[in-house]
Amino acid sequence: MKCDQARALIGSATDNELANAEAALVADHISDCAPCRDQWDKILEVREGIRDIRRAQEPDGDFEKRLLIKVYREQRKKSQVAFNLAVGLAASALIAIGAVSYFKTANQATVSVENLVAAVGHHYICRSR
Amino acid sequence: MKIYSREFFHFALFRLRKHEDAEDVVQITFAKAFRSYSSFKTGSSEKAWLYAILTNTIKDQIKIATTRPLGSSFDDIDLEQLADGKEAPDLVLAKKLEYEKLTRGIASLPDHFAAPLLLREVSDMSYKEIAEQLVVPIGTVMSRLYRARKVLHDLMTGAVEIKEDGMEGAYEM
Repeated sequence: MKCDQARALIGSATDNELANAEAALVADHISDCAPCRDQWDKILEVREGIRDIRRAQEPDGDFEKRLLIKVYREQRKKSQVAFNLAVGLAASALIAIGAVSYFKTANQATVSVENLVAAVGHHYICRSR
Repeated sequence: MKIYSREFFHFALFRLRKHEDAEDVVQITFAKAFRSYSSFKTGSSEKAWLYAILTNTIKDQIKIATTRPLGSSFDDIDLEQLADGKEAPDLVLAKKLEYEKLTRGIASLPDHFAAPLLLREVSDMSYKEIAEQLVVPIGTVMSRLYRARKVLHDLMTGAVEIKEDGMEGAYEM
């Protein structure tokens, strides 16, 4: 295996993404080639760094519990807002329906009184003739 | 939630560099997931779906923080707890400085380089999974990983410095 072929595969080799035969060829090459081995080592150094930083930056033991509480509260808050909104809309709808019915009834009542007055008037006029 | 929370926390922490921000992002991610669970397609990958929400939430968080906190550090990297007691103090200090450069470097990577790197190193995804997650060919995943790792190593060793105007130029092959 030549250096340019090895360089193209080193990343995949460190990530265990190569078939065994290819991985063995890369391993053979880097055991004899210092520049390619250097590239291999660089990838491993970055990986080791990320791993060490993760270990040094673990969240505390209450992390999951805190997270559950926050997500639960958030959900409750959203549900409460949705509930309040629904209650508000329902109340507004009821008020609107009530108001419409009231005015309708009031209108009908007015007409009935007018009709009644007209009928009584008509009756007296007829009687006086 | 318990399965992914720490993995998501580390993913977010490498991009945002602050514990509180990372924790907030993970919380928002799960809250969004609960709200939009009806949009999750049965049979597809739950992890991939959650990662899509997480990465979008991180992007939003970065937008909100108008100045990326490159100057401030992670919560102090306590390497003493990692050292086995055999390493010389000056080596431990040198490692700590290297790691601070590494954390700054990862936070300053453009998304299209940071995502494959963190999906590989933090989430332990295969190239195929990363390619599916990011909707790019496997070859693109490989080249982005190569460039991201190269530039991070150069940063760790001081071969390049993070510029205020970004790191775009550092990724040329």
